[in-house]
Amino acid sequence: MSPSAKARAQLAAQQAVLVRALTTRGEPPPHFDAARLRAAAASLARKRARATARAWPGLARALGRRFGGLFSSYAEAVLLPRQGGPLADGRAFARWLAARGELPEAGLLQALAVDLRHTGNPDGLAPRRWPTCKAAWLRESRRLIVAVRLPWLGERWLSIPLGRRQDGDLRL
Amino acid sequence: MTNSHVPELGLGIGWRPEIALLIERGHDLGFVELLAEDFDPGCPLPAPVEHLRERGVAVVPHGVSLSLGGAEPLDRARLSALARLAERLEAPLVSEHIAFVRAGGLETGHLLPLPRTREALELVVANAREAQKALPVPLALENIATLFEWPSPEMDEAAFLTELLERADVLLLLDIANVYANARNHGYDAGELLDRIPLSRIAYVHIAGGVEHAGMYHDSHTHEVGAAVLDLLADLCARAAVPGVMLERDDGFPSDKQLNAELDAIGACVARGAARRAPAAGRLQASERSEHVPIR
Repeated sequence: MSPSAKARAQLAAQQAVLVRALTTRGEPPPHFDAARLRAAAASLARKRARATARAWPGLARALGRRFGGLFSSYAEAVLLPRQGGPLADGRAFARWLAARGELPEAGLLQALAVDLRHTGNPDGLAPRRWPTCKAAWLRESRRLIVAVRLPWLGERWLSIPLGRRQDGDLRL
Repeated sequence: MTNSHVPELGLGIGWRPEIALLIERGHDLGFVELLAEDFDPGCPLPAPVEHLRERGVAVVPHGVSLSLGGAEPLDRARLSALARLAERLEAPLVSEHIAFVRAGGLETGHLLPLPRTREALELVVANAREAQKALPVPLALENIATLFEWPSPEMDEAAFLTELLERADVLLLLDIANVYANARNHGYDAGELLDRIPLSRIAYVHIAGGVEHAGMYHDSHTHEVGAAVLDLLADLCARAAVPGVMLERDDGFPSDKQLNAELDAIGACVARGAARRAPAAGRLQASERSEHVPIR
């Protein structure tokens, strides 16, 4: 016996209400243990932050104690991407930080690495299959970073100082 | 389907980049599990994973995003990626969860329980059958831990799990830490659940550490495996032989020495349980750490 369309639609609606409550975008559904739902919602939020910190260790280290609070503000505003997991979540977080002038250089560099290997789409991130070239300007260090990726062959990173007499051939 | 359809796996661990070196150096692991979504079947596998495969260590892809318990239609692209990864790894089986992870256009990145109703059971059975048809190897489904339950369940966890496995005819990835967590948090007897579920469908077992927080037990995967969970593993092995047992650790990695000691403790536990069974038992032998066995 396969589930009827009506049963499926009903379950879909119930699951949607639950998910909204767990991602703090809706009221807890009736007859659930509210305290346990709150505990689960807190656990989900912690897990999302931890997973992003693991996927973006340089950014987490550079933000230090500020990571938790900043990520929490970001997570309230931005939904978890459908595709790309914590890497995509971190990429969206980096974009959110950049818009607020809060993205440290370590985050900018990792964002460049991620953009080199993944393409962004409305759902999140998907792996790139073709050669790519990306660049970023590090304002503090006054360096232009240029990176090239050839699938199956590897990457080459170049760090070009602008305004200083230093050699720069940075392999990451 | 019973676990005679899968090979002996032995002692294993969840592969994570942070412990890749420890895993590579550990010559007595029988298998590793990869988080499927972290690997693109169209790209080269990380060298450490290729080295393991070359040594004959079985590699099992473990999905977390199929959302088999969800009411949305199965995502064919995700299913196809899992199938391709299984082929690429020459995996003996694939595992996923009895859970949903998205609904109403919202992604949670977390494994959520389904209501234990007839209607939800029909749905997850249908999804599991469809998933198995699309996969080139046997599918094992994992029981999850949950801090909350849906109101007014029509059956308990043992009944739901048993009926799902038998009607979908899939294998079981028994997470013994999740059994412990749910029994603790929802007030039922873990041993009674083990008595009622089809142990012959166990493809392999997960074990992990957890922590007590605000009156509830959290299956964190970031703490050392506790004595009570190890005892439950021994109780399981006293009831039936299992093809494999693996440690899950996701974060807060301890030293190599501590992680190896934990693997040893798990192996010893399995041996302890097996010794309580009839001597005829042969799977996952009663030595401190089992030798790895080649995959089929």
